[in-house]
Amino acid sequence: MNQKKTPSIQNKKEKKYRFRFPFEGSGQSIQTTITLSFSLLTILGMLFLTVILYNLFNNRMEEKETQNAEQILDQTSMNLENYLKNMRLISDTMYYSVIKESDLGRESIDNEMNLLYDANKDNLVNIACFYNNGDLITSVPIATEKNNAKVKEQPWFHNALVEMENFHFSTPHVQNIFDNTTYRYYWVISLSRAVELTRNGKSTLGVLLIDMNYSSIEQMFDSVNEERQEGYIYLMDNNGEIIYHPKQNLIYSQLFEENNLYHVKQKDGSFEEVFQEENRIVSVKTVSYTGWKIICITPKTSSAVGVYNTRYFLVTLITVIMLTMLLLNQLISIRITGPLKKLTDSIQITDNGTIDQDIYIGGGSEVEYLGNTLKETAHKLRELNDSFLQEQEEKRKSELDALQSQINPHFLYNTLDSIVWMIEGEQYKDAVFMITQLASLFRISLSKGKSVISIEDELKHAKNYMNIQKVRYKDKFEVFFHIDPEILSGSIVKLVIQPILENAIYYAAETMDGDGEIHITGRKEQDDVFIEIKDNGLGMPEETVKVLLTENNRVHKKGSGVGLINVHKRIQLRFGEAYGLIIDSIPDEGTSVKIHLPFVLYQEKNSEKEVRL
Amino acid sequence: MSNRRYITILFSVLFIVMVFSSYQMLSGITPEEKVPVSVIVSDSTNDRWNAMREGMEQAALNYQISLNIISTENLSSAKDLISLMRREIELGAKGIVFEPVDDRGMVEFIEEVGRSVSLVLIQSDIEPGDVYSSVLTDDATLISQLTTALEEKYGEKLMEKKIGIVQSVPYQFALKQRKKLLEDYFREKEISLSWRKNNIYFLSDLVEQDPVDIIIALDNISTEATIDSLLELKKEKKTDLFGIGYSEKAVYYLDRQVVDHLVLNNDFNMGYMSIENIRKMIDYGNQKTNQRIDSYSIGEENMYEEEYQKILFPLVQ
Repeated sequence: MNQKKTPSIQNKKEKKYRFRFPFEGSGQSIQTTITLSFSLLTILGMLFLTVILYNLFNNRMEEKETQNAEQILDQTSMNLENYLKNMRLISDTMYYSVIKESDLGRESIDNEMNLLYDANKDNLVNIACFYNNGDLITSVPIATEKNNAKVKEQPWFHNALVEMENFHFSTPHVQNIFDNTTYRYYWVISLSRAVELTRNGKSTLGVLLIDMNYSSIEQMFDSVNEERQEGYIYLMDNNGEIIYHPKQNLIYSQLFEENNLYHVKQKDGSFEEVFQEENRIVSVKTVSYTGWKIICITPKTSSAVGVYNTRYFLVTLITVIMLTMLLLNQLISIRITGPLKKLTDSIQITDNGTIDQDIYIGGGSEVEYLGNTLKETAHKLRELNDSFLQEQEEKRKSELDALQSQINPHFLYNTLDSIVWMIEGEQYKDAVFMITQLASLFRISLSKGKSVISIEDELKHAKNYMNIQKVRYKDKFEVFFHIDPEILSGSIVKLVIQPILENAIYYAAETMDGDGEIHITGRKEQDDVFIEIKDNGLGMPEETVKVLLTENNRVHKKGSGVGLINVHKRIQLRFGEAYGLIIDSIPDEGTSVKIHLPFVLYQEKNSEKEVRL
Repeated sequence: MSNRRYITILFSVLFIVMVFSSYQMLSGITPEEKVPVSVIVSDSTNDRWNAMREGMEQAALNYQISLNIISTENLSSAKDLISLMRREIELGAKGIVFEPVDDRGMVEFIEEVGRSVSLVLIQSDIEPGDVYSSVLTDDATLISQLTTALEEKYGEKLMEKKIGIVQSVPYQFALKQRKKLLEDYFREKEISLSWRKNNIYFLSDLVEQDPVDIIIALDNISTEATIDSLLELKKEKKTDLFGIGYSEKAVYYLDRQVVDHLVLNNDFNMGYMSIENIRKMIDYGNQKTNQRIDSYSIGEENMYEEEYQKILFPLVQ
């Protein structure tokens, strides 16, 4: 039992672990399975590739944007530092070369201050020097103060005297201490420092003011911002107070907000933040000496502009590749399965019975080999089939011949024995009659070797036979023929009535001692012919009737030895299973044997092979 | 489902995706087209519009607007303004920001064109209000700040002062409103006004013939005209000027104490918001809003404070 189960389990395991294509086995053709499977694999592969490429590109773009931002910061910081260094240099020059060398009580420093201003007037708005009590010593280009100028209250003045060792850079403001006769006001960044003054030989403290033109710094940053498609840079002092911002006015008007108070706490470098629902990269660079910070803001949407297009470019590219792959898959699958399909179609035609139609030979070597093999197999099958049919026909014929041949020896022996008996009894007339009937019987029996004859001949043969038998049995029975003339032209297997009559004589009339009757009735019912041989003999029980037409009946046979089964099989062999003998018998009343035949008009050509249904 | 249908569906889906992504890619490359918007204000080259122009330019940059500020002299009549607006519409302006100089005769025109072109009114308001957006000065607040400044300076002595009121044009809605509010205030205080002048012509003659202690100018043009008259008559020390408006000249003379007090609007905001509104109207159709802008009360003593200097000197020079 175990040995029987093992292959089944193994098959299940094989099925479980065998690779299956995604669309295999769901009633799809091989072409669809190949196309869809490879297309699915292509799509998955391409999607995977797209995601990888997109992420790589996105990361690379962000890295590039960050590097770009840091480069811009480095460059801007360098420019700003140079500018501020230059301002400090002006301040140093003014202090060390002019103020320190002059006694302000005895000499003026106006000329030197004017020269220095003229040399740098693109970047400067004012140069001024004050005593520590706020009194103006001198200033260029505007020499006078406003009446209400409150110098000591100015942050730059205050800071210079509080931390004397340092330079002090203010936040941008409108300079309001000089008496400007025009309507123009200047935004400046004030660079102030404490200076040691000499006045009439006495040393005192003062403040040197260099007002840098804010527009110089603004232009410096504007030019950077104009070059940037997205994002911007801005500048703030070390307290987070904005010095420059491209949207400064919007910030002042509270139409825009900046995250400067957070940015001021950050160290140099880059980081990402979300500010007002916007993802952005922030790069920070601290300007040396001043502690100012330059901030570069790069919205992630800025790289997204490139990424956005790249995203759709990638999708377009991948889709085009997918479509191409799908077409190629389709072409390849057609190329692979086309010959198989042709082969299948040609086999289907063969199945329909046209075995002589060509089986497709072509395609790849495997398909060609398969076609050749199938063609050869079909050819062999056809030959086998023909051979089988021929053998069957020959077998059937030989069986028929054998069955027919069983009649002659018995009957001939009995009849000749009767004739001998008649001659010995000097009944020459009867002997002549017998011989005449026998001759007629044999003539019909021979029928030129035909196995099918007309019903008329068969009945004539039966009459001859009964005439002979009546002589033999000295008229112990009567024979009556009731034949519908319509059936006489029909076809019948020869010598089928005679064995039945023989049985009727042996099993019926023989025992009746002169009262036996045998009725032969022939009639046509629709397309069938029924010939009934009915006797009034002993009859048979039902059990005996049932086994009469079976191969294994053990009923004792008398007479010629040709049983009813013999006749039955001959009829069926010739006309089919639907025809044959129908036996009815009632004990002590008699037996009826009906020959059931199809009505087939007898023609010479039908006499042998043609009369087959 | 038949084999051919599987393949057809797959092809169709991929093809649609390809067409969609190609379209998105190409539309991403194509820069957004700027929308032409015209701005029509009286005496547009006057520096009193500088802050507003700055605001408009900033908004135009942010909102993809092609800004065309029409050069004008004094637009004193609605007819001239309508003529200019018609010309701009014919030239393809999708929106117009304008200051109605005279509300008479504007109503029908605004009703006519307001349905097809986006309109934003600045400074002033006229009926009907449902076909345009507006960015307006809050006249009640302006007058309230002005009267507060008067009270802070003069206290109870205000009742003893001779006061004159001047405005540049008679029929502008905002000016009529300001004048009415101011007159209501003085009526409540039982202060009678020496004179009211509805234009700036022969202002010096009036100031000379009927001198007053305080002149209240209701707009920037009348403020500048009064400054000129006081300087001409050398009365800048004798007559106090309280003005509404903003210009470099007005600010300069505030610093010089010719103007005692200025009440001004945040013109930068007005410019920015007007362009912002017109972009919304162009993009979203009937999204009409009426906004009022902040105002500031500034004297000589606080004009350099950090908050106010950003308002008074918005431009880097």
